[in-house]
Amino acid sequence: MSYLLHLLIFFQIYVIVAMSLNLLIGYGGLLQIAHAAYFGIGAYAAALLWTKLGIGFVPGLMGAAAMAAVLSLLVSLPSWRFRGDYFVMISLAVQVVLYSLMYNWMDVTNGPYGITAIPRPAFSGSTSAIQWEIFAIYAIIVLLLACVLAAAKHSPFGRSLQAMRDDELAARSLGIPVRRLKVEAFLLASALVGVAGGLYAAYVGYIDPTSFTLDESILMLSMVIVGGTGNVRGPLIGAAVLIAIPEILRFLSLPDAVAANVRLLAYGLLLILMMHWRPQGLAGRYRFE
Amino acid sequence: MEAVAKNMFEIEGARLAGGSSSWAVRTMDLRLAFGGNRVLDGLRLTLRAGEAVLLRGENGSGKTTLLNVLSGLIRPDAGSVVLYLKGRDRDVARSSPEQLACCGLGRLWQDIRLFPTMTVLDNVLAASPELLNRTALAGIVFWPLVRRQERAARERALHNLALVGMEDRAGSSADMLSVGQMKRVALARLLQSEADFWLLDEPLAGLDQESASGLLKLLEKLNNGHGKTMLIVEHQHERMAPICARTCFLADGRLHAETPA
Amino acid sequence: MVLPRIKWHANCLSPHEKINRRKKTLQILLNGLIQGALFALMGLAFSLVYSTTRVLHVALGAIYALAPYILLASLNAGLGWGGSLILAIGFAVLAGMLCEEILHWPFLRRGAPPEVHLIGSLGMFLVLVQVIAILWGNDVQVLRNGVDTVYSFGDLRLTRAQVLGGAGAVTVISSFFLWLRRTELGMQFRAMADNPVLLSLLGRDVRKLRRLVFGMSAGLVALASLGSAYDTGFDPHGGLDAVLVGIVATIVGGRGSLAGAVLAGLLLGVIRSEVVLFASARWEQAATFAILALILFFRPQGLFGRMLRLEERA
Repeated sequence: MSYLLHLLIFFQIYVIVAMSLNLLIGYGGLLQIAHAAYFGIGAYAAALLWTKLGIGFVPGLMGAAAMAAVLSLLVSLPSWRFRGDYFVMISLAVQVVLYSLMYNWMDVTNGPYGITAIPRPAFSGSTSAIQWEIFAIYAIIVLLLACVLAAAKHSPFGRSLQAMRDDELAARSLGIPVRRLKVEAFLLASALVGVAGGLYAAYVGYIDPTSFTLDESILMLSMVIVGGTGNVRGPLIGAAVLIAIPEILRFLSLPDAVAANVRLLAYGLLLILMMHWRPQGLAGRYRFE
Repeated sequence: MEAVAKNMFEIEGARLAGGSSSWAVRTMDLRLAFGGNRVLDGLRLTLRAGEAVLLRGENGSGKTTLLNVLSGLIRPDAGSVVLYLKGRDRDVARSSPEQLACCGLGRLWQDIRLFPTMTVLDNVLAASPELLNRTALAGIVFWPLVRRQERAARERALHNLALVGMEDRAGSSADMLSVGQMKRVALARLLQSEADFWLLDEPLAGLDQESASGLLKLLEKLNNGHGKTMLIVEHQHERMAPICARTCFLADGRLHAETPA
Repeated sequence: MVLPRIKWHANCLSPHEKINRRKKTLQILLNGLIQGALFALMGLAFSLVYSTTRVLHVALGAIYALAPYILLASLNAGLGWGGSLILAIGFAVLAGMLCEEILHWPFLRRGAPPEVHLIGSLGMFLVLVQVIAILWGNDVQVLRNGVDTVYSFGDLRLTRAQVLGGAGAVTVISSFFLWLRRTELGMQFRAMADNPVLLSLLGRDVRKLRRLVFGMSAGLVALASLGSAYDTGFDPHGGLDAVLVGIVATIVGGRGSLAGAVLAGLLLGVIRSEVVLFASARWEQAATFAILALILFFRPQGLFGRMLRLEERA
């Protein structure tokens, strides 16, 4: 039971990651591979705010969102004039830079040693939450963020974003401000994944840079690609698959040293297969056309 | 004095006398060269407000290039393009497509370019200028307010769809329509964007006789009844000429023989 | 965070310090140029694929990681340096062509959009890197033991790795450009870089050319990788920085410009060395990104690229 809750909590965290990436890729057509870096920025920001400044759980999450959102400008501003290719390349560069900051800036992030003893959300009795309480709290947060995203998608912003995705040129000639849209979409998606990072830090209690590499970004991408883009079901299925694969691999009883590599290998293969067989994902609505 | 002024500076006089409502578009000395080929060579074009002008020319004479320059997709090497729309006049020769849209310019593309994953209604709604400045944050935080504005825009969109005869397909996905239907929706989209100067690129292309007649009637209605200024590139000029005030020929990088229809 | 106090002004220095600084500056410059030569190889490789096929060949990073492992394995098998080099480069070339055969050519045939090519390449990157890690482990390995031989040229010092790497890179790059200008095949390459679509319409054997492109870029990357591996060692994840360098060199050098990517690579090498000297190694990546951002803001077409007039620019 406790193991099931453990998986479900991870599912909750990854649902936020998938939903936010889906906003960018599925609704905005903005493919990028820096999501894990922003996940990490959120995790580090929240962890530092909680451990070094002792602020509350929710303010820490908000700080994480803000930090990730501001740093998203590193990708959206240099690339707002350009189309897809440059966007991706710049996001790759940002992923590498942010990771290198997390790894090398010992004074702030403690480098490869990471940050330990990250507190869980505490109730007024100052007992930190137990597992099912975490599950409940996170569920509320997930629902809240899902509502935020739904509001965004059904607003004029969401419509303009889809228009931009479908035909950027036609959208521009109707007056749709594509540059501003890209920046906004990025701000929103990064803020959300920053919150997910904070939730991850609080649950796991210890973070280090190795959880936020390019490989993880590709993994997050594969969540959205496999699950499907452009609708609500896709990210849910993608997150579920992401959780399921390591569990399935567990049955193969691989030696520990190799298990992580095999997991990533499986995702890589999955990406290649999906591109050949079903680019719109298992449950998606939008094909890259 | 005034008579002399009128004769010598007829154009300027008319502009000053009639205000900016007399003229819609004027290009002066437009030049553009690709490699050694001078596609536009001192081109001058004037359109009065509410005029529909047919643009003809040989294949490769540069009609589409002219449209692209007017749409802000290509920068001319020299010259100016002045729009007298929305109560102001400004030189838009070096503006971006977004800026041009705000100035009241709209384009009907040759390949139509509807948004294929969106419904017909959403396609039209996407062009609403009153909604374009709603940022994402506003959409989330001021949700009820934005919904109200959207409802007003929706009314307008349905009205525009009714004008073009597509209101009963408002909920259909845009990629399920015939070519004629798509062109009508594109026109509704232009209406929604409140553009006053329309660039129409081969509007009758790909249409059967019946649809083409219908579209012609619609264009005439929009030109006369709604006062939309139009520059139309069309190969089927015999059908298009009757609804146009005059015809221009593009050759050697300039406009020639502006014959009254 | 503290930046080291930087003695900018020459008046702060004693005569002895001045001479030392000159020597040091020259040394750093030379180090930067040699590192830049390897970067130039990366830039050339990446730009070669991007200009001709518009594919973002991220999997090149995995091929970069693969080459030293093949070399080491073959050395351990007793094959000697000559044979091992050929084997390592050969494997890389095959891996490059494999990417084309199982990913990019089928995708092209289907008319897939660029996103599909990229995601496929990312998947391949992941797969190859993990295979390397599974076969040989995640730790850093070396091609030679102990301290490298150092050659002195007056006041300047170069290790053998630097000499080999630098000389090798210069030779290969010059030969490549000679080939590009002088041969029939080279001319077709250049035509493809200028206008890939046009070339396929002309009916030239695009498939053969593409295979060549993927094979050659892999070979170039392998050389860069071996040069670096001989100097400082290698691990399965070293390809990432290499890809980044390749990408930045391509963008900074300019759209469609192979020579631009080479020069940009050299520039990157020099600037990064200066950054390591004046600030510290941790800011190397950030410096790379800063250069990219500056170019994108002030000269988006790159140093030697052409400005696009039309709709390709967003």
